[in-house]
Order: sequence, then structure tokens, then C-alpha cells
Amino acid sequence: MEKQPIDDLFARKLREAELPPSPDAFSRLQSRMSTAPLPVTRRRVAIWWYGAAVASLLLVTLFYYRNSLLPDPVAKKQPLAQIKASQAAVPANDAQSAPLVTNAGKHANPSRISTTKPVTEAAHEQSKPIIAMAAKLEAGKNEIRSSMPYPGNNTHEVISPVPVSPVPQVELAKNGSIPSSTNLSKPIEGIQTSPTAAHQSDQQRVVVMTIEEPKAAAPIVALQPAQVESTSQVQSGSLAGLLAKVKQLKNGDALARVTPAKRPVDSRSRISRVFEGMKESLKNETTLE
Amino acid sequence: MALTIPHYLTESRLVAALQQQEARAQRVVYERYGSRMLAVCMRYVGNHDDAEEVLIDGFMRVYNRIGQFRGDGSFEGWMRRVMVTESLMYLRKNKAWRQEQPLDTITVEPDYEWADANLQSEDLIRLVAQLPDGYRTVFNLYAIEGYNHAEIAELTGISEGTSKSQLSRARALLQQKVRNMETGYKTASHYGKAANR
Repeated sequence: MEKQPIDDLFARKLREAELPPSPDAFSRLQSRMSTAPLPVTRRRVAIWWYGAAVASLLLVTLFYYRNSLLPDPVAKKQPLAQIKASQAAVPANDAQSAPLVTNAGKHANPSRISTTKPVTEAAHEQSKPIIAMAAKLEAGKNEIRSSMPYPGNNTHEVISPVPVSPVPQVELAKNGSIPSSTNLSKPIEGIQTSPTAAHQSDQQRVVVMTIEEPKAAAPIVALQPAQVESTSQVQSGSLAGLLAKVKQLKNGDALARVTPAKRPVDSRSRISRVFEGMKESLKNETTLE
Repeated sequence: MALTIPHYLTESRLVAALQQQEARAQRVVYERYGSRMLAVCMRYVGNHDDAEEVLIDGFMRVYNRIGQFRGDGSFEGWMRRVMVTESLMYLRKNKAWRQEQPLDTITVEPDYEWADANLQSEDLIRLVAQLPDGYRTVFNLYAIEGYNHAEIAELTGISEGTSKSQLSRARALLQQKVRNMETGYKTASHYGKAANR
């Protein structure tokens, strides 16, 4: 279909035609533009910006939340070299000879004894005096056993977990045995005994003590799969033998032995750990005999 | 009221400013092309108020889609196509212009020389606006914008045959109207001369 004269007439006259808009048309255009949604490209850019902002906020929140879940931020912040330096400042003789009970009263810090704390090289280093102390006690075990009669009476006494006050020092021989000149009949203050229902049936005397772990033992407690069992070697039925062993514990001649993990460490309190350790030690002694 | 800003004297600079979403450039574009674009909308919509609404929507589209202008043709031609598209969308949304009754074909042709000399663009816009929506749309797209029937069919969603028949009827109606104006003008001038005598 070709162009006709009527088409040319209108095309020629209307192609450049003009009609003035009303004066308020541009203001209406502006107001409509301010309320209209953004074009697609600008909307995409805005969405990306919002997304990036939300992601950054989430990352920061997760970072702080994760940090707040850490059990011991002090241990995390303390470098390994600093730990070693602080251990080097402590004399080895003090760590070996310091009694467990007296150390606990002065230096024990429960917050540092954490079973979930990561094991460090410093913990191994710090455990060496205690391991040596345990070996020393093992060497003198037979001497102790021979010096105390077994069994004594039929009582089964459980010592309530109260803090133990300082007792007189007992000088031990080099092999860890108690000298014969030591007076073991003197009662120890701070230890309360109470009879239980199992008196008549058990011929063993079980001593349960609450001993706050000394500063030197804290890394051992934290050592993950191993655990510390502070065990008394009391198997005597006589009160003298019991008191002698308590004095041994007071003087630091306690059996602190590192054994492989046989049970979950974090499920027990320190009291129950000590009790379990002592019970296990008594069981081993019974088996040996 | 037209703004005179030397920075926007060239079309390329104006387009660049529009792409930066500069409010002054938007105002300049409106002032420079608003009247011409309103005439385009008026030819399609047929009503001044509705044409102005379409004009506003068309300018918003121009401002938002300026990134799609590649510079292959003139900026005014691109704007005109935007306005035509906006007018067609308006008609598609608001008018049932496809179902229209056919009109009787007028075979008497007007005096085109007289029409070209005596009819103004406003008169012709008024004549086009009196056409039914379908006739008006096809006539505008074919006679003035230069689309063929295939393109018109694609743009409007009608068949090529419908486009051709609507164009024939639009032409016949416009010829009749021009002829009527010519007759009235000549009659008035004849009686005026007679009265003067």
C-alpha cells in the first residue's frame, strides 16, 4: 500500500507540530518522579549495597559472638613465651616441696582450672615437679605400708569436705617414709569425721579430702586427655596411720599421678575427682596385697 | 520560561547530563521537547488531558531509560518513539479500540493544494483526534511515523489485514473531514464576497 496525498498532507503538517503543555505539567512530572520507584539498574545497585551491609553486620556479630564463647580469654591472649617466663620465675624446689593444702589457700585460682582449656606446652613443663613428686612417693610406698597396721578397726569414716587448716610439718626421710620419731597420734585440726551407714560392712577406711589444687597442679588438671588424681595411700585402720598420711599430704608428699583418661574429665567436680583418685589408689593397693 | 544553559547546547552533552540524572538537564529536555512530544501524544490519544498524562509518563520513561539510548539516531527521534510506545500502552490499557464499527468509504478527494495552504497543524490535529481510536492509531503509525503494516501489527497486536483496512477507513474519514472544511471555507468566503458586493 503506497502513500497517498492525504498521508503526505498530514505527515508534512503534523511531523513538527507543537502543543504547549499546561504550566503545572512539569511540577506534576517532578512530584511523580519523587514517588516513583527507582529504575531497575539503580534498584539493583541499592539491593547490592543493602546486601553487603547486612552481610558485614552478620560477620561482625558472629565474630564477637564467637569470641564471647571462648572459655578463657586470658589464656588465649597470653603468648606461650610469656607463660614460660612466668614458670621460670617459680623455683623448682618450691613447686616440689610446697604443700598442696597451703598452696591451695594462697594461690588457687578456680578460673585457671578449666577442663576445656587447650593444652599448652607450658602445662607439660609445669607438671614435671608433680610427676617427680609422685615417683618419689611410689618409691617409698612399701615403707609406708609396712609402718602402718592393716586393718585396724571396723569403722568407715568419711571426712567432710572442709578446708584443712595447717598442721605441723613432718620431716620425711629421703625415700619418702615417715621417721619413727614422728608423733602421729596428735589429731589434726580442721578435719571433721562423721560416721556413715557403711561402717559395719567395710573394713577399709576411706578418707575423702577436699584439696584445692595448687597453682602448680592447675595445668595438669587442664591437661586433656590425662588427669590428676591426688590420692592418699591410707589403708591403715588405725588413726595414727591416717593422721600420718594426712600429714604427708600436708607436706606435699601426696601422690599426684598422671594417668590416662579413663572417664570424661569435665563431668566431675574436683571433689569427686579426688575421691575417685583415692578410691582407685586404694583399690590398686588391695589388689597388690 | 525556557532555560538558556550553554552547557547543554549540544545534544550529546544534554544526553550525557541526563545519564548522570542531573535535574537541570531533565528540566531542559522538558522545556525543549515538551510541546512537540505533547503533539505526538495528542495525535494518538485524542484528548488533551489524557495526552498530558501520557506525556508525563513518557518523560519519566525517558529519564529512567536514558541509558538505553545508544546514539545511533537523533535523541528527538528516540524520544518520539518512547512517546508513541507510551501512547499505545495507554490506548491498550484504557480503550477497546479494536472492536469498532466500519464506516462508509468516501470517494470524493479534497483539494490538497487548498488544504496545504489554509489548514494549520492545530486544525489537522483536531481532525485526527476526531477519528476512532483504531483508525487514528494505524493512520498515525503508517502515515506520519512511517511504520509498515507488519510493524504496526507487531506494535498493536492486530493483524496486518486489520491494519490495512483501518488505514483505508481512516484515510476516507480524513478526506471527508478535509473536504467538509474546504466546502465550508469556500462557502463562507463565497457568501462573504457576495455580501461585500
